[in-house]
Amino acid sequence: MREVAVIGVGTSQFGKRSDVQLVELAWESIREALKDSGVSQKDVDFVVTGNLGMWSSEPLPAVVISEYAGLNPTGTMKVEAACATGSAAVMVAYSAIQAGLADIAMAVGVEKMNESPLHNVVEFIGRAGNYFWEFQNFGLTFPAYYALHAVSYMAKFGITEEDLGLVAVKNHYYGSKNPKAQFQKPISIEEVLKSPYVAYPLKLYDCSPVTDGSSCVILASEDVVREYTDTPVWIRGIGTASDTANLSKRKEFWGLKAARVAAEQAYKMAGVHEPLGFFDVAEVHDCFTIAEIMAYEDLGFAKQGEGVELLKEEQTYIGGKIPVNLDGGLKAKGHPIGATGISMIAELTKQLQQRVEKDRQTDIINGNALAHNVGGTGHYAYVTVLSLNRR
Amino acid sequence: MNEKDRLLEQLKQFEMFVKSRIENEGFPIVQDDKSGDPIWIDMREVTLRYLISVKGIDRFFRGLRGGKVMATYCKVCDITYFPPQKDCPSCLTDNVEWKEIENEGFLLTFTVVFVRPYSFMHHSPYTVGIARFGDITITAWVRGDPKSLRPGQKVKLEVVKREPEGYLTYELVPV
Ligand SMILES: [Zn+2]
Repeated sequence: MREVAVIGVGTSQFGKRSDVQLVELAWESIREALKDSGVSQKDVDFVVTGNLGMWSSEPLPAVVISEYAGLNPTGTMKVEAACATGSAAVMVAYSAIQAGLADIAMAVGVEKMNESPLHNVVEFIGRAGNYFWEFQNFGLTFPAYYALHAVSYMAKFGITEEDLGLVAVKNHYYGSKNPKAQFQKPISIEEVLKSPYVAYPLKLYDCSPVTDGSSCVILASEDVVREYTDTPVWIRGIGTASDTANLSKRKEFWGLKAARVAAEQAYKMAGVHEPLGFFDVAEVHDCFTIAEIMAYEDLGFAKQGEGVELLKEEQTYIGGKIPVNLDGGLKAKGHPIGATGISMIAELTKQLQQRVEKDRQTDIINGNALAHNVGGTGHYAYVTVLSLNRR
Repeated sequence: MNEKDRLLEQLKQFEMFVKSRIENEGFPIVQDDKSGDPIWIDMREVTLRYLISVKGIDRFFRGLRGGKVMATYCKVCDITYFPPQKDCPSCLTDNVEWKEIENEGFLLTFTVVFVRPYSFMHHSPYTVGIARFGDITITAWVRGDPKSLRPGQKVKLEVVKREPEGYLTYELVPV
């Protein structure tokens, strides 16, 4: 099997980016990744664009981005896996290299959510389940889908709204140390608890924001890696799984089965037996506070029902057993749908290479990192294992 | 004035503002509320309204008209489908039958949607639940005060009119 590594990454400033169009926003991360890798456009054999769209004006993002970024006539496509679109784009780029169709491939994710007013964004993203049976009659929203999980989880394991808030406090703390994060201020548990309900029991501060942003990674085959870098970050495992469109068809609501299946696959491929002690750092999909707690359990960081204990003991802060979301996560860095998964891999690459801001850089001991990217409400799941160590 | 009327009023005023910008400046360009960045207001507007075929599940709507919520059932595989579907992917046939749902269930989970989508903004915050009825599970609005709800709560299904739209649908009713 041909090995594939990340050789360069870029991430734009996240936030409400009224100063740029979609293509300009995408270019910010593409330019950074080209410079970071030393790759020039003509060396790129394939481009994969991740974008969910609907709220933004360009229906063919891959096409407008390639023109703007000087990437013609290289082949391209757009992929969609809801909020896991970015990881899906990386998987396609990885597969192209592994199959021998490309030596260098680029995955770029971008979302310009603020091109539509908030009420339309709520509308579009609420439709991301089964449109006819869930949205048409019952008006479910994205926070509501996770709130259904939160109510079930809280009833089963006896955790409180305050426990959920611990995720927000941690991720805003690290967001405050990441200059590219949408939210740059730490928040207190009191502030979380007094924020208004969006979908009971989730409040405003339990929810990731509406974000504009882009992220880009450049991948290379083992045959050309050394021409570009001495510290490649190898993609050692990828797992992907799905679950039913209708939430009603799920057996339980206190975890995401697709995430468990994807993790199992990725761990098997990368030879991970016990994730705690193997990974130096992880990025998990904290679109809502409850999602991060379920992620700890789905990834095997904690037993079912015990995820909150990791937070209470600060085991997911730097210095703990498994530091999580040291860039602020979706919660504070922001969640530009198509860019999120790629920005996770960009962040982990820099963590492993010890290139992030000092006060949010964790110790790299084993040289392994984990990305967990969920699309919709566990409709799609992608888990990626990254390592400084080649197989 | 409900939330939707207030929003529509705001949008109307904004539309007039854009018109005045075009007349005075020559372009539909306004300043962003927060950053002051110049923003071009799209001049091409569409209304999204899909034409969705329901031929394969026509019987479901006849059932609702008769006060019943129906599922499909594959005899060969012993699988009940809800939402009803006309095909059984398990045996690759479309020999499904229609059956009435066993109307004694319990709530698995619920939420109250406070921040509503645009197309639901004319409704007050509503409660959505997922409940199990025999071998199937159903998502629907839950009637009554959500403060008294808990997972495990007994519920039944009732065919109701969704007002103000006026069409038939089904609702979970605590018993
Ligand atoms: Zn069958």
